[in-house]
Amino acid sequence: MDNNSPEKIDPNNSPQENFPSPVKPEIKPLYEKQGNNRPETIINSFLENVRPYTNGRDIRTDAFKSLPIEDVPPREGQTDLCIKINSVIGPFIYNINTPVLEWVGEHIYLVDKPGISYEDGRLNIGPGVDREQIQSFILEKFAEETKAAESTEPIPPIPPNLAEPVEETLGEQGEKDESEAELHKRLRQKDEQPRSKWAELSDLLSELDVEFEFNEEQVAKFDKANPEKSEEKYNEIKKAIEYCSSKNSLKEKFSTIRFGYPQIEQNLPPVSLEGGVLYVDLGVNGQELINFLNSLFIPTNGEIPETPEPMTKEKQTEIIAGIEIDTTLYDKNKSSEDYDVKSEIGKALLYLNDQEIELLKSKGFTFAIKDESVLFPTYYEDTKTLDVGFGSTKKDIILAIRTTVIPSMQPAPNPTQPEQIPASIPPLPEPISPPTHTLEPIPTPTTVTQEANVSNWRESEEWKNLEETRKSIAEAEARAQKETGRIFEPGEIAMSEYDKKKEAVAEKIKESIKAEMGTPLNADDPEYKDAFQKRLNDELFEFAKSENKAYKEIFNEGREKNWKDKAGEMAAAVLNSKFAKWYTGINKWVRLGATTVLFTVGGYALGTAAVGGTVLSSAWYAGGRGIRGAASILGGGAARAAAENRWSEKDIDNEVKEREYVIKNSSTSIVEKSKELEKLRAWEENEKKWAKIKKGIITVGVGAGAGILAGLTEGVASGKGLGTALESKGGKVASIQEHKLPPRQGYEPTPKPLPTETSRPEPEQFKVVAPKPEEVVEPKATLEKTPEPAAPKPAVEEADIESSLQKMFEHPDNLKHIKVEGKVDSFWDVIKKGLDENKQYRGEFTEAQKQNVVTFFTNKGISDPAKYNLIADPDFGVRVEPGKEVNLSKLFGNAEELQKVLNGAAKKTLEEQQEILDRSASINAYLHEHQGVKLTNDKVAEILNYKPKAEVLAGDIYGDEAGTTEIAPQDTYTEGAESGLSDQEVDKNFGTEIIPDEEPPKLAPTPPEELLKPKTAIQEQLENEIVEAKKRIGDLKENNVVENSVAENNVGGNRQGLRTMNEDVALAQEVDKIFKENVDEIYGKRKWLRKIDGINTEEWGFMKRLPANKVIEYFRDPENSDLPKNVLQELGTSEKHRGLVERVTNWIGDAHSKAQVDFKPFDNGENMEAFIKRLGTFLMKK
Amino acid sequence: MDENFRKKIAEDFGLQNMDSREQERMVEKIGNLLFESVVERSVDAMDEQAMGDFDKTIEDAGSDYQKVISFLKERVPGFETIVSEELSRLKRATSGIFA
Repeated sequence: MDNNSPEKIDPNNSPQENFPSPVKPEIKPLYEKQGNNRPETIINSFLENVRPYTNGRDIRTDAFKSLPIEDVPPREGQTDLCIKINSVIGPFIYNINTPVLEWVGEHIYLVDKPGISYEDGRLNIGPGVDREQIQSFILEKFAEETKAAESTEPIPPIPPNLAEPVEETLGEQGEKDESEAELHKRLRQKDEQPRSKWAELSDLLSELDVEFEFNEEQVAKFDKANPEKSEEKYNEIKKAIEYCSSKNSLKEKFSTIRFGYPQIEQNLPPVSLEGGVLYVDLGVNGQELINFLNSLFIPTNGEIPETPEPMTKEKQTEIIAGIEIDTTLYDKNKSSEDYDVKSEIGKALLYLNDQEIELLKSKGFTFAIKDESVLFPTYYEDTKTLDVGFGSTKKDIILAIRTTVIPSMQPAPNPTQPEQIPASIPPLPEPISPPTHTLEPIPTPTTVTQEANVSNWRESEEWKNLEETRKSIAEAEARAQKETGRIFEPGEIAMSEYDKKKEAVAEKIKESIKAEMGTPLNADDPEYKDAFQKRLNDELFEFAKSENKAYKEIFNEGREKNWKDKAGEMAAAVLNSKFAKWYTGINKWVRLGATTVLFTVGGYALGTAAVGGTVLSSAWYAGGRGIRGAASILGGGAARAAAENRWSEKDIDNEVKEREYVIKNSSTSIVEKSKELEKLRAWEENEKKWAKIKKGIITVGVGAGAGILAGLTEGVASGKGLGTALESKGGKVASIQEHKLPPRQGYEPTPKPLPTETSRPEPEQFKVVAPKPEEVVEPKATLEKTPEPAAPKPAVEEADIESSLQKMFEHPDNLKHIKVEGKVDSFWDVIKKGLDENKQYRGEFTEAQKQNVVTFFTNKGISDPAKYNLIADPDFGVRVEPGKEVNLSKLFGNAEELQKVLNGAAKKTLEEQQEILDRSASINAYLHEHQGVKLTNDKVAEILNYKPKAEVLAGDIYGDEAGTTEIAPQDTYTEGAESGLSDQEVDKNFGTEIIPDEEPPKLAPTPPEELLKPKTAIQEQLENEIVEAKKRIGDLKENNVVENSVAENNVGGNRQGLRTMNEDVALAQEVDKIFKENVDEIYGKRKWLRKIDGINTEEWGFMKRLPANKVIEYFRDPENSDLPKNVLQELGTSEKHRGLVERVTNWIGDAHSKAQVDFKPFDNGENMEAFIKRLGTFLMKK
Repeated sequence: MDENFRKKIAEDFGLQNMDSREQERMVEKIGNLLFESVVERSVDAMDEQAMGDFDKTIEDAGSDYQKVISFLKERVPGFETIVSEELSRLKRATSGIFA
């Protein structure tokens, strides 16, 4: 744009002062003809031209200001100027046809002269005109110019759908009596309509440099006779031309297409070529035209074409999977790293099964690679060739083979009897190819007569009987449900009757299909069997569907109407339809994921059939946690998507085959290929490893990493919301109920002598390992050299007790009256309440530290209740009874001991605390799967995969509790919880700790003050985890799924539980490996013949030591980071670091979605490596 | 779909005599039918506000079926019961047919 141009006129002056404009502004044409006539280009060009008249968003000149603006809603980001221009010329431009558009683009100028004018080839738009006037004017001028050009240029074909004008005007073509108004009218009509197929066909031929002539009379007749079909026909012809594999060369074969010429009367085929003219009859179909056009380019024995064949390449072929591929037109230069048409064919063949491949081979099927003009694979049945154009994908090819090629090769399900075949149609010759089954007799046409249509079973007597039975059952059910508000289960007799009648109808359907398909001589023919089975299943499903619908309709009639009035029902119908549209719009795998979730909501649990085919909700619980963790650690971006999609080894194999094929056929060197193959093997190994872990647990991959799915299935697996409706005879869903034992009754206190280890055979006995000294005091190290410190004597003297309590507790008296509240308090809870009286415990400890302390005193108490004035309980060691009080003064009466325990807990490192939580969680999960199992040391060792040392507690340190090797019973069960699981069953597991294989410790010094300070992030984190874990267990309890029952476990629960626990352990051991793999993915390098693992790179070495909280903060808010400058510099410039943090952030998101936990780095400088591993461990457990 | 999971559904719906490919196909169909029935019941149970919100949820869901199920679970009273009932009814309607 010439910015000086406004100087020649003053656009800011009033129009009156400036009109007529003495000097036209030197502005460029609106539209530089560059082969691009898109409306956007024109508008942009127009904007350039009007810039001298504008000031930013404002329009400076009155001339332009005065242009009328219609009420055009602005689009986002549009300036006032854009709006104005769009409102004036936009609608016109966007609807205009191509020739006029081009004409407009070259001529429009904005001027100050009022009105609109056309001078010197320029269309000047000034103040005072509106859109209609502009449009009319342009059309008139265009018509004038078009007419002027008619003398030198042929008239473009006029769309026959403008029938009237065609007949009136073009019928007398050349007489030049067409009025401007007529042309104007026609063009206006054209502008107001979308582009017709006729016009598009015309445009296409114009692009191909082929003249288009048509027989007006024939076309008009055709349009009149087929008013709604004509556009379809033109479109079909257009598509056929587009699909021609060599459409750009059509002009070499003919210069003109004559459409609708009455060649048919000369008994010519619907398409013929004569004298460089292609005659196309109106009755031609698209396939005929495609075949004909393509045949023009097939080297033949000289029959066609007329025109000399251009230099053609010698036919080249390749064989893949035994199938020939014509690669004559294959142009490797067009291929890229991501796409190669030949590879796509190879991939497609890999996806076909052996039967399909064999069928294709036996029928002489071939592929032919074509250029991009073949938009979709096109099959020619006569040559048994599938043309695959450049751009077609393996999916296109598979689709074409399965939906077109194979069906055309298979025998029709309803073989036509020989006498029905019209004599004039010769049978298709079989391709010369070796027969597939040479030993089998040649099938002969069946002689079985066709029976009535399959759907006629609805008219059968059996169907009528069924309808009656169904009606009576459904009505009874609805009535009963209405009256009782509960789900009604029809009686067995009724159901049996109903089933019998359905079976009769099903049998009828089967017979009908058999009759319809005919009986082959070889009934074992697999093709026939497959076809029959598929047909039968489809029909039976339709039957089941209709049965379900009919049942529901009857049932719903008996129900009360809900709130919806007529309008509401309409809205509901619309909504249902909208849902159906959405549902069918999502891909199959997503749908499978959705239905899987729904099945689980309905009571099916995942990974259920692994043990005896029964549903063990709790077993899934632990297993599900493991696998979700596995999915999560793999998760994040593409890795997760890939992992989710590869949900079976078979899929992985397919993927490997596919990748292998691509690598082997790539143009890279052998060395590079071998490197790629090596990488592929590593990938395969990794994927299969995870597939194995997932197997049996995970359902469809799309839901694997999904929190909602996990939540739903978890809830369902726990029995949440299961209705009695799920009970059905023989139905596996009912097995969920089978595992719900009746609510446990409250425990009737029966004082018994203090149980010994051997005298407590009760099945529900629950053993707890006594706390380890090193968990409460400084561990081992100096033990060998330092004599064991004198063990504090138990405080038995009342005075000592009082003194101790006063020292350690703010309100010592409270310890004598710990009230057991409700039915949920356990001895564990009572201990917690007591310890809450201690300031350090209450205010400074994390949940893990608290667990550590509570565990110690719980075990101390149950190891000898009488000694501490507690009531012994045969089942749980110490009895606590609702509403009563417990006196803990003796239990806590040794200040020195208590302080040591507190100090020991306070000194727990983060890792130790995490271990406590991990161990508790593992044991907890195990116990929930194996209710009633005796938790022996060996069992615990098995669970945690290491052997504890049972004799570590030195009696001289802690007196009674020291040296306790027995596993103490659990706290008293206070009252039979309705749901079957008490809080103490929840909590007891957190109190279960294991004695590591370490030496007895000496007494620990008081930890440094800073260690005792509250660690906000740590506390928050750990507390969240505890709360979350409790919540999960609470759900189990609430749903009454888990019960203590040895009998249940004997059924197979143990096996299941052990399996899943072992998987948990295996997964935990994998954390480090997966961690390394992830680091490798991001930081790993490949140098010539050498690979540097990610963890050995300098970049990772730099990153791993950085404080995780600071790094994550930096990527969230770089401006406010207080990291050193050199670190900021490194973080800010490395894509790898960014990639790692993005991945970590995704995992944090996973943690939140799965467990509603804000997982974050500890604020004590926890480095990236430690944090990632901790996060991975957490996710693995979820 | 996990093999064991599918196998179990197949058993319950009397599809055990079919080969695994056919089982998979039929289980998929049954799943679709179940979903359709459940949503129909759910919509019926929704009030006007919930219907409007569900409409929007579907529009925004894309491939995120979790969003849709989550909505149903949260906003449809007794959603689990509806699913259970529909599943039960579907089983009842199907029993004896594929055997």
